[in-house]
Amino acid sequence: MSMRAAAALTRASWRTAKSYRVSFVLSFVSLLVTIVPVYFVATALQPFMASVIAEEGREYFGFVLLGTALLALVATALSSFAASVNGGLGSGFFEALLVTPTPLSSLLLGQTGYAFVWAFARVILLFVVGIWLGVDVHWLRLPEALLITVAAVAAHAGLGLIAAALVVSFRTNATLPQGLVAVSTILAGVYFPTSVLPPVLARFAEWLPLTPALRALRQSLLLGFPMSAIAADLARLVALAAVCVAVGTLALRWAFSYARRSGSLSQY
Amino acid sequence: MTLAADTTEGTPREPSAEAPLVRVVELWKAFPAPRSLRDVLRQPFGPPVPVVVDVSLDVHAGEFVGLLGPNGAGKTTLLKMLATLIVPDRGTATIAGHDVVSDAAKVRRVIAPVLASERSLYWRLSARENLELFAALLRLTKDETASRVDDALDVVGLRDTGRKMVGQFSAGMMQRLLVARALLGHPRVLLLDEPTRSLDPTAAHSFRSFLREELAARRRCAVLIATHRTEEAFELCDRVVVMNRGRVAAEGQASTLGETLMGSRYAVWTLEPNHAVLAELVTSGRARRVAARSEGDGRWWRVDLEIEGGDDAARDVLRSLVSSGVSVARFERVTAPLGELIERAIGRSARR
Repeated sequence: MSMRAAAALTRASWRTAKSYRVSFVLSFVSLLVTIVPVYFVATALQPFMASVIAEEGREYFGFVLLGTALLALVATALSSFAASVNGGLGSGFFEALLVTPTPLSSLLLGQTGYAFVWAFARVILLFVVGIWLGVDVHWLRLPEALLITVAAVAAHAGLGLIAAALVVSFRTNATLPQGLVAVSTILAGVYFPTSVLPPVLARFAEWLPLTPALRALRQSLLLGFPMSAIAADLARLVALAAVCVAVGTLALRWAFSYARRSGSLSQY
Repeated sequence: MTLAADTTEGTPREPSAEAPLVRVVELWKAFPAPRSLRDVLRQPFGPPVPVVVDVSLDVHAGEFVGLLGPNGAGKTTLLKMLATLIVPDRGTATIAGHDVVSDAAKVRRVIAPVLASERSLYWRLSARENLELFAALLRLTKDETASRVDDALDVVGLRDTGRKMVGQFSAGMMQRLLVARALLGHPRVLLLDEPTRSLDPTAAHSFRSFLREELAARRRCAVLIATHRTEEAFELCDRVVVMNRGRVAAEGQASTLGETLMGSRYAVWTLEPNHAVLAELVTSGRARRVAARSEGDGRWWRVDLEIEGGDDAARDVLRSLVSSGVSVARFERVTAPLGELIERAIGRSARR
């Protein structure tokens, strides 16, 4: 792994994004414009939602804010690998990268680094606005929250690697990232807790990495639960992350090996 | 995949001065044929289509070798196998003694492929920033990066525009930047895939001169260039390998192979395409008339002749025309179309 190479690629993407100044500024503005109406809607729904979300938080706005923020991060982890590989293969840029001595892991990290940094920046901004609007956060639980976030991102990055492997092998991601984001948005408890789902769907939702991640994150940051109280969800999340990363890494390795044999790594 | 000549009990070593930097021995690659869904359902594993068939060639340091062939001849696939992007099915390929399959990482340290198009550059970054990025990928130190980026920009004539955004470059400048990017790692082998495809004739000519003087003559790189332009192959290269349908149809020194395959074709621009002296040249066997067509305003004609015997014989023909009072506006040697050249190469190899 060459961190210098990864950092150079991330910096190049950052410089490119920065060169589109209007779009760069507007993306921050749009985030603020989106979150303010959510605040008013959440405040209006607070009387009805208070009892429903009681196991994961007291204020519905804080509940939704954390759901939205983590969903943004995992959506990036799911889609950025496949998107970067797809774009790079189409333009020939990936071919130019692959003939350098830099390892594939550094190339992928560098190619997606900016997307992750940008997603984290937007999440931090969301938090700042959320706190300004009155979200009550237990700051002492920040280390647990960071651990949960890293595990959630890792689990979804593993699934993202599988999507990238599909792109490398078959030039399509079979809408895996979009499908997973849609399913997670509906079933994993982003806008409402999984306890309101029918039992069958609730059981299925437990297999989505976002479900234990969101529950543990809210319980630690919004309710101040200690590590021991969220240990079961965290353990489940870490196990899912380990499996997803292992499968994703193997799938991508196999895909590149297959592509080098079949010629699908480049146009022919 | 085994190492070729430059091995001692399986351990790669640096080749001697005489050993080729690129050695390809009976390389073979086949790809699955594109088929309709019905065919795939009927027979899921159809026979693959050979794209590179038993190709062998050597390229030495300082040598410029052209791979000439029509689209689909297998040139790009061959270059991509040497660039470690495609794994061969059979045969061996070594670069500076390193096998392209088992020692791919070592091969990448000595080669610089220019296979990708200008879309593989960051258009919103400057030329310098693009090169600095690749310097990091090539693991150059900061000091090396500064000096090599300056050198590379200097060599390709982009030093003054190094801080300009690449999106504002012309196609020729982008092509030069791709070569500058390839030169950053001080490669020993360059693999160029149709490097003049997006250039106008003048820019292409000057770019070819640059390639020849800088890469082969000054840097002593072994250069393998794929092209479908006959004049490019014979003007630029020391040696030409003509490929057709994945096979080597002909190979040899550019000067002699050009003579053998193209014959010696000359074009005469004249007002009298049916002048008696032209007919006499043909009947006496000094020239063979290939074609004649009206040019421009219809008064002038271009007559294509094949003249055996090289430039001396051509000079005699011209002298005969002029001394007989034929109006000659232009007399020049021309290259045969690629299709004709390949037909001749195939015919020649069939006769042997």
